Amino acid sequence: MDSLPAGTPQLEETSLLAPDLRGLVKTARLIHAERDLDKLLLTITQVAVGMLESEGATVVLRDPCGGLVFHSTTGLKSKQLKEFRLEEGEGIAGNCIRTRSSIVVNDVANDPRFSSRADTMSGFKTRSILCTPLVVEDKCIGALEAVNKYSADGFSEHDIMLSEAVSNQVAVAIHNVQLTMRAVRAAKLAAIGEAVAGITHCMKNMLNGLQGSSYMIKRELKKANGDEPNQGLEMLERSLARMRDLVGDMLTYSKDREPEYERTDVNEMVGSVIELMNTKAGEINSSLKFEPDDGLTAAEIDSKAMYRCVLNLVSNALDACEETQGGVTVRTLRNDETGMAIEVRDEGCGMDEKTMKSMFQPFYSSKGSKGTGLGLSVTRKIVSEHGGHIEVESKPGHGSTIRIQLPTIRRKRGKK
Amino acid sequence: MSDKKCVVIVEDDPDARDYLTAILEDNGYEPVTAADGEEGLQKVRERKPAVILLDLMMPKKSGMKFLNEIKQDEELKSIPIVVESGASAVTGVDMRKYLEDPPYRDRKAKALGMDIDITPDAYLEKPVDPDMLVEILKKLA
Repeated sequence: MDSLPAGTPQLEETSLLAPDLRGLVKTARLIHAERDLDKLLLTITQVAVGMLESEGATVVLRDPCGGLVFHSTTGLKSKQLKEFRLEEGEGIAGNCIRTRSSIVVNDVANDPRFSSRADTMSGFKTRSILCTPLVVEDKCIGALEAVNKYSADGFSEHDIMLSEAVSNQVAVAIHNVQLTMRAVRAAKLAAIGEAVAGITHCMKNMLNGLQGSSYMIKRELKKANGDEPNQGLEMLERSLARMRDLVGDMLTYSKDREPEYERTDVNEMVGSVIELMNTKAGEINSSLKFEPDDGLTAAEIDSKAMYRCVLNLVSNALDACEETQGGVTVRTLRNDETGMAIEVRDEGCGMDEKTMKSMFQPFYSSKGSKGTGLGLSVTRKIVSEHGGHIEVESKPGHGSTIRIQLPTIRRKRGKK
Repeated sequence: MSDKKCVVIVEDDPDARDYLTAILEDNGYEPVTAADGEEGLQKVRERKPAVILLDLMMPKKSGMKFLNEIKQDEELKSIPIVVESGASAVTGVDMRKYLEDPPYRDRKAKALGMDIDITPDAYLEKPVDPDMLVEILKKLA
């Protein structure tokens, strides 16, 4: 202390106490050393519980596909809350993220912003909450929430200050790890892409041979038996079609590509999918309706890629209706603020939580041998290449609604 | 000589050759086959076909080299060429990208010593869809 200039406030005189400072330094060291997002978030909640002397803590992050997700929770009933979801603006965390300001509620029962959904689901009893936003590069990526202060007085001004100091560090650390993860994912994708390009080329040549043999068999059979259908040949052709789809999906999934934007009449594009899929709907006694938004003008999209997305969604929706024989309704929606949406609603079997969590994972399929397991991964990839996202609502036995939300894209043009 | 339009198929894979031959025969064309670029060039000079069907990855003379030579030959350059290939850089050239991505085309053309203005008249991706092939042929010849 002797080396400090005269007049420097002593530690006791500042608002922060020595243990807090030590805690902050330790926190910074811990969280900036961690490169694994799950471990990082767990460390953060453990640190928060210790520093803020609370029963539990949670990191809530914004989901790029919409909504808020409990990513890591420490404390009683934490297991039940893993990946619990809130709507944007829902609950104390939702409000904190929306307003980007800290919120302290020491009696949640009397605060209308409090959402009891998490308590109902987990069996935990929340009394008090301190929630601080995680802001980095002027974006609010989520919130750090501490629950149930041990002290009967509840969370204090001092706790807010501490939590905000930790949150600033935490936001940067999470952002850094996300950036690193994205870079690693891109490198992995590039490596996979190279391998897949090689494999698919070989497969295309083999497919060409198979396609040729099917053509030749058909030719010979026609000469011998006229147009009599041949079961074996039909099987071969079905497998060929599936293999062609897989090769196409693999190429799209593995390549990092920019959408080839062109001015497209979205209603017409969706209409052509409906036209194509009407036969399939008829085969399974389902109905396929199209409700275009007539106010939707032409948009800049990668028409071929988006056609494929809509085709995937409609095909999935019809598959879901195969047993229920419910209907499928496709709508286009104009939304001036956020661009536009294409919605596929079905009265099919619906999805449970497990299926909803895995539905966008590559090679995940709930359709057994029918699907390539890449349809939805490819769809999501194409949509995010457009800067959009996919929203999913589903309940087992009540059907599903999947919405492709696309921003308004203005193509960069050179001179007019 | 028949009045059927002659199509020279330049393709090293015998099965692929047979497949293309069958499609052409069934649709009223007269197919003539060649197993590599050199033989292809010779057949083209002899027959002066209405269209050339060209694979890219071949021994002796690659498809790109073949394309370059035909399109620089005053006597042959008007013959339409349909490249049929799997779209992938494994062949040395990803033809779809070559046609759609000018910077890629410029880079590849430079590496192959080709004129950037030389491109095939049509491109057909493997596995070959018979209907699509016939549609292209009808347009070109």
